[in-house]
Amino acid sequence: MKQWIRWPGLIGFIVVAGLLVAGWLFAAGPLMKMALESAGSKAVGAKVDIASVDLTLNPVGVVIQGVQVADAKSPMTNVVSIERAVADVAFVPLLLGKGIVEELSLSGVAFGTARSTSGALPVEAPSEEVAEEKAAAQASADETQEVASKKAEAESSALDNMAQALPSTDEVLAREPLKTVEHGKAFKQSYQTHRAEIDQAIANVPNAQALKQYETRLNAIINGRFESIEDFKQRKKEFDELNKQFKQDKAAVAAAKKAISVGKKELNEKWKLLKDAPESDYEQLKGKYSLDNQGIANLSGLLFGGESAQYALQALEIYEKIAPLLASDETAEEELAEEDKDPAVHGRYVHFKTDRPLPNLWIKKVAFTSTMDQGDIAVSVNNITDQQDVIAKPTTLVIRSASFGAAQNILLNGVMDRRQKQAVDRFDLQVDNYRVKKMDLGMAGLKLDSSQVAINAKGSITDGQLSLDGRAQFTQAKFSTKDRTLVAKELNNALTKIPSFDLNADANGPLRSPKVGFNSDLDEKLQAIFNQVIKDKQKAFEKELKAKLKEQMLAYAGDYQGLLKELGVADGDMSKLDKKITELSRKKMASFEDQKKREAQEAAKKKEAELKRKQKEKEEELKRQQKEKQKELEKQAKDKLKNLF
Amino acid sequence: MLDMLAKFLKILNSDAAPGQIALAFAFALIVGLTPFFSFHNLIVLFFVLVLRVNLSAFFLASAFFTLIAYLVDPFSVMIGEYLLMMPELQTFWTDLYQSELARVSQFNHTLMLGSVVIALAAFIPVLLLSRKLVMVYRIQFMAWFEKLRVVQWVKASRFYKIYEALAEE
Repeated sequence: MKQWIRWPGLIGFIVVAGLLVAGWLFAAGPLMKMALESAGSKAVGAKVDIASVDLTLNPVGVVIQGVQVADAKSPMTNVVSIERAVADVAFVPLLLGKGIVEELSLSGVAFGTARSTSGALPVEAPSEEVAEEKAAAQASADETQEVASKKAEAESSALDNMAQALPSTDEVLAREPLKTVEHGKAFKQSYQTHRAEIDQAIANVPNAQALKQYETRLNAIINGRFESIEDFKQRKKEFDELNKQFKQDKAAVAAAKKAISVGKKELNEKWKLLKDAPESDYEQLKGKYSLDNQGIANLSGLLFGGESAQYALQALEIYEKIAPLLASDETAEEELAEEDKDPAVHGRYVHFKTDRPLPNLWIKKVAFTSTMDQGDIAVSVNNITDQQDVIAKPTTLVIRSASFGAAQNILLNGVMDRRQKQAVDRFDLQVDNYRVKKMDLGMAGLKLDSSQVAINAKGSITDGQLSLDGRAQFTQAKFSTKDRTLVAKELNNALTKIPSFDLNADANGPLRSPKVGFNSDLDEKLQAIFNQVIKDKQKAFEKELKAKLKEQMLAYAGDYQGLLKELGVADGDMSKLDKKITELSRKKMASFEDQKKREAQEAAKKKEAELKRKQKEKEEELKRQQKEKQKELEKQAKDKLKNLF
Repeated sequence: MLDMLAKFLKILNSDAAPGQIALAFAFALIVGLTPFFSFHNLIVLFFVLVLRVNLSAFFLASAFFTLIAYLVDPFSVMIGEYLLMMPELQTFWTDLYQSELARVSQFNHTLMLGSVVIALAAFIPVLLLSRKLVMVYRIQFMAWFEKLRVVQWVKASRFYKIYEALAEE
């Protein structure tokens, strides 16, 4: 047996094991310190200083001393400082590379302590992507704050000074895209275009003088006897030229009539749009620049919105610092992905049901108390890990304080659940008694001099979407104002009669820009005071707006009726002109042969008439001679008869 | 590598007990075939150091079996997968999984389990076979081997000088 045992080998094994343990004790501490400082600084964006990290063997654990986490925004201040942190680490999981901390005890926890050196990290040029993300986040935050403050300012001023609550009508007309302006410009443009076209067309048609000349020329051509064939030809040439001119003039008249007709049609269409535009603008602007219920119904929002927004922003900042720490570690995910890469060659882990899961890092319990200027707070956080799906438990948080500043009996319960893909964080805040003193309200120089407030709020954040519902019960409220405006006085008088009221707030939507709503029984009580003032103001504003819009419309339209009349007259003139030219052009010119023929016919007729006349004269002579002869015979008969007797 | 080979030849030709060399091969089989950073390999290392196992043979064989492991790994994974998924063994594995110490052994990894099973199954056959081969080599082939021209040529080479130098130590 002895020949099979190698005693130096046993010593060698013990030496190797001893070296490993010594390395664990002496080297691992400083290495962990460096790792914690580096990772911590990266996470918070400011220096994380640790005085020392020591490892203990019995029990297996880590003792961290002198932790200072600097505030990135104020580098000479610590966000938090911890004198001593003792982590009770489970040994066996550590052999698997799993940090399971049964309990993390913190002592000497303080917030907002001063630093002796700056906690700012050395400035590194950020990558474009990071810079863009930061800029976008900052811009978003600024925008939210700006929008909130602008909204609050705007709403506040609406009540504070009614005269300035609405912009002037001129300002509204200047800043808003108006249909009146749009259609007015289109009308004007159309008018100018058609006017030029019509003028041009009318310039091409003959005037009255030209028509008279045409008539004179035409009469000269078609009347009178052709002296000769040359005379006829000459006249014929002139007649043709005149007819050609008539054709041109008729075409010009037709073009002018068409230009007038098209112009009239288009201007009529545009006029209809322009005429209706002021009414449409008015309806739209009336809703937008309104002092109705939508405008100032939310008096409680105006009064308490600003203060609430400040608290909400502070809470949001704290939440945004904590939330990423619970997000799944990318490295662990990558490892898992690699594991799954080719399980047929590299194998895979098969997991079985267990009540003792092992995530990469799991701090089961952290509890500490902190003494601050405002009071003591006790904090307890359970199940801190970035792999909640492995432990099947959410991270829970409880903060208590019997007295903190002006508040008594504060209890904040939080559950940050990342077990499913959709992260759900829920918070529940209860403050039994918050003593309000000299709280500036958002309008009319009002102050809430004193009041006692009980607060209950429940909120959840699901995948970046906030849903918050809170209720504050104000009792023994006393208000005051130094302002001497009518509104301030009315408000103060009304508020004096309201010693207790409830304020409900809700916020829904994206975490950085939720839709915030306030309602309170104050609203109903205060609104009646303003309703009449608002109505009068709104009425005057709307009347002025309507008048200004009409004024603007007329400025574009000009004397549209006069213009229409003018176009109508021009159209009538063109019709008369067309008729006249048509008349003239219908006149015909006789041919030379016709003239000869006519002359021959006339000569024949003349000769025939002469013959008839001579015949007639002859017949009359004959009749006269016969009559004379008859008379002679009768005389002779009478004489003979006389002679007989 | 040459150093290691020279030592191995020296051991083969020395008076070292064939059993020590065979045991080195057998332990090397476990270290070589299974994933290196594992709890059981620490135990193997303990035995290798405490028992009179031929270290040169152990390290050389470990390197050899590590190369072999690349061929064997897919089969190891299949065996591990089969065993871990076997319905009859589910209760056993689940019970074992409740022990953190057992999980340190990474028994629930298909490659780990399969390769350990193969290495343990082959441990005794490799031990006996290698012992027999060393003995056969020494009785029947050592003299013949040394007379070979190739061996003569090798003896004149740098490799042999190293071998000689080590033999003299």
